Amino acid sequence: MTPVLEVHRLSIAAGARRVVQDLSFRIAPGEALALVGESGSGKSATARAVIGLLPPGLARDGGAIRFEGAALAPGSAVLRRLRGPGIGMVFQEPMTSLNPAHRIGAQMEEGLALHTSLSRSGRRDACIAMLERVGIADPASRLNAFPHEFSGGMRQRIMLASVMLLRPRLLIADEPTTALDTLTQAEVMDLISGLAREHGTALLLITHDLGLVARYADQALVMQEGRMVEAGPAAPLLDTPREAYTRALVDALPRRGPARPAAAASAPLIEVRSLSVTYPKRGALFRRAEIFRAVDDVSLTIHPGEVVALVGGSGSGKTTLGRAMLRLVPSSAGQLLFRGQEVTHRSGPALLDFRLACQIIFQDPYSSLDPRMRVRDIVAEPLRLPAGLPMDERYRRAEAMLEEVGLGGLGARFPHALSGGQRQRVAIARALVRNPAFVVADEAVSALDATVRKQVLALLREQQRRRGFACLFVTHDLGVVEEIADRIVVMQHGCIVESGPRDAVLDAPAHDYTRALLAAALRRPGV
Amino acid sequence: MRLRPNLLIGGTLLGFVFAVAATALVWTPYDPVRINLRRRLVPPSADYWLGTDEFGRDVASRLMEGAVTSLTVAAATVVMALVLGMAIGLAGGFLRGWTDRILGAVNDTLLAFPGILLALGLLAVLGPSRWGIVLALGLAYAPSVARVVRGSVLSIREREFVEASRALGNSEGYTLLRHVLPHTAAPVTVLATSLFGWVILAESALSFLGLGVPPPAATWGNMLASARPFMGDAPLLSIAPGVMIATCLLGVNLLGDALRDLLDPRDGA
Repeated sequence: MTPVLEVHRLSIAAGARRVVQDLSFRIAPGEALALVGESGSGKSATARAVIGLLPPGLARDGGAIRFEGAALAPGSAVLRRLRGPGIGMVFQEPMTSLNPAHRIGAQMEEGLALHTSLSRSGRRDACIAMLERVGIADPASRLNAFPHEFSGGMRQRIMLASVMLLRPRLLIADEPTTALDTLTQAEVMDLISGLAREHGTALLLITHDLGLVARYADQALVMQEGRMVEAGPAAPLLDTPREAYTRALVDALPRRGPARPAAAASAPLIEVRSLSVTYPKRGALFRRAEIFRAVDDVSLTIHPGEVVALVGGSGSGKTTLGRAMLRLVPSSAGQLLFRGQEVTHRSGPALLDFRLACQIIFQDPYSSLDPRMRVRDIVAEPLRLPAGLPMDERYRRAEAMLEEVGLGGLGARFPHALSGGQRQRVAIARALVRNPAFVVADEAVSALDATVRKQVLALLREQQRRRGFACLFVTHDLGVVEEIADRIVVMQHGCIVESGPRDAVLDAPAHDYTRALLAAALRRPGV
Repeated sequence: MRLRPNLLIGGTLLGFVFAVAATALVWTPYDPVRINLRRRLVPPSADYWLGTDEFGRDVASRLMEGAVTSLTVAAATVVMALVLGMAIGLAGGFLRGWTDRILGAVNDTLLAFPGILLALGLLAVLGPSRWGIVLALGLAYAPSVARVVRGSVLSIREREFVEASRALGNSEGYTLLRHVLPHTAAPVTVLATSLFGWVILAESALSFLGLGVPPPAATWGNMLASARPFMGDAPLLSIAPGVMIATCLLGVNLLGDALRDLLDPRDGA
């Protein structure tokens, strides 16, 4: 049988450098192939070369791409006609891949109007049916909604719906769920693979996440620096990787560490009592603004040296709770106690003691470091307070801290000259240089590649063991939690729905939401 | 560091203007305000390099003297507009709430006036004087600085490194100065260079209306203004200050572009 897509010795050049070299693979009709690799491995460039949409600066440099046996030359008219009905593509960023100025109905119809002879009402019916299929409630009226009225997961469904409307023979999904939380990720991936199967569409899945491969791909191809490392049927490839690099990727999947004895009955370090955080919803002109309860009457206690994972989907209030516990967002009711003393309403110098003992690591290392400061200034800055430490001592400690997080000798760099993982290490160094007693890690590894994530997690764990700070680890990913947490607290709709020791929660979840999260978590196969 | 053409050309042009002004501080060929009615409107010669004006004053000397006055007035005005505008913009953008609303309302009202009209009104009250011009033009141009600064502060204050600074226990004032202010540098530099140009032009416009630096002191603006009746007979009278103004503006703009690039750590590294 003719393969839907055959890529033969494809090379892609960026100037003099080759970002993809001699890559060959084929996808049979209805088959799902996963291209796996870390950032910069050339997997996205390959996908874009297939559909002929290479970004400026990249160009095909030898090799052939054949779609159903016919060669696709870059920029040919054949290729343009194939886009849509032949090859569909779903992009990573649902926030930007829909045009915010147009209603979603109009955007979905575009492809049908271009490639089919359906009447106006026929197109509308097709859109409604497809929206219904991807799980959008009340599709007929939602056709008139704008993209900003939908959440990220919903937008990705709409994107998928508009691509699948044309029943393409090949669907390219470029990191389709990387920007989504675990639950939504599982739902969207189930939809993609379900729709592909229904329509007999072949799937080219681009991902850095081996967990996805295990669940959704028939074949897998591991890439590193533009070259193929290993290829073959997905399940055996993951179970018995032949190459060292594949093994490293498989090992980077989260794995449960040994349980530590529960924190002794020491005095709690930080205690939250019936805390609520509310925001006014934007009201209409003459209506009273409604109140949105991001965190609703939550109580939580953390003991010294304990690592507590706060888990929940987006919008569950977990990030808000983490920030409220550091007094970074104001709480509207309840108490916050630190070492037995109330700090809920402290301000000015009285708050400083609390600030000195608590730190935060943010999700996005691109925006949490001041781009105008050198790395060593960033790490030395916390040592300004409490006042009195001489300048050279501050820098000596900052350099020592950088050494500890594996960035020795990089102190003179600016953040933009570091990789994502290195930046997150800087953020960790900044948070730990003052030896805090309590650290909030807000999705601290969610933005990182799998192997980098593993390294950064290991660093965090090692530092936690050595310094013994208590940690609130905020995350949507139960897989990450397994590695690091002593206790797990699950949040939904601003309330805590379940909490308990890690193994108890993971092995015998009591609440439906926890079970759903667990089912969606992509963990090491077979463990 | 790569040698940028902007930096080189801008630096050369502005360097020339500053050299002229510096020389004028210690030496000019003639006394720039000495009137010699017997030698009116003399064409350029070895004695009078650029000729003389309608009162027989040496144009070259006045041009040099004018460089000092024009540069001082322009620089002082820009500094004043920047200090005022940045204070308003930072306060409004960072504190938000009522402070921002009140400052914003006043600012928008001032912005609604053409700058030159505002300066005219102020000067009518203050009377023409060098520092009056600085004050009037400074106040007139501060609102646009405030607008630009407020806009960038509003976007920067939401970035996580600002929140990180708060989490470190840094005071609001320190956070503002250390983490927010430096990021306004790029837009403010660009604005400041164009302001410099506008001020030199505005000063000549005010001089033209008799509200500029009062005579007999020379500025490029009032030289240009008083040369107008003689444009046909002695074109050099208006060309000379015009060329100086153009040189100065071009130099400032090119240097401003180069500065903005240099100030960005992404390029500087």
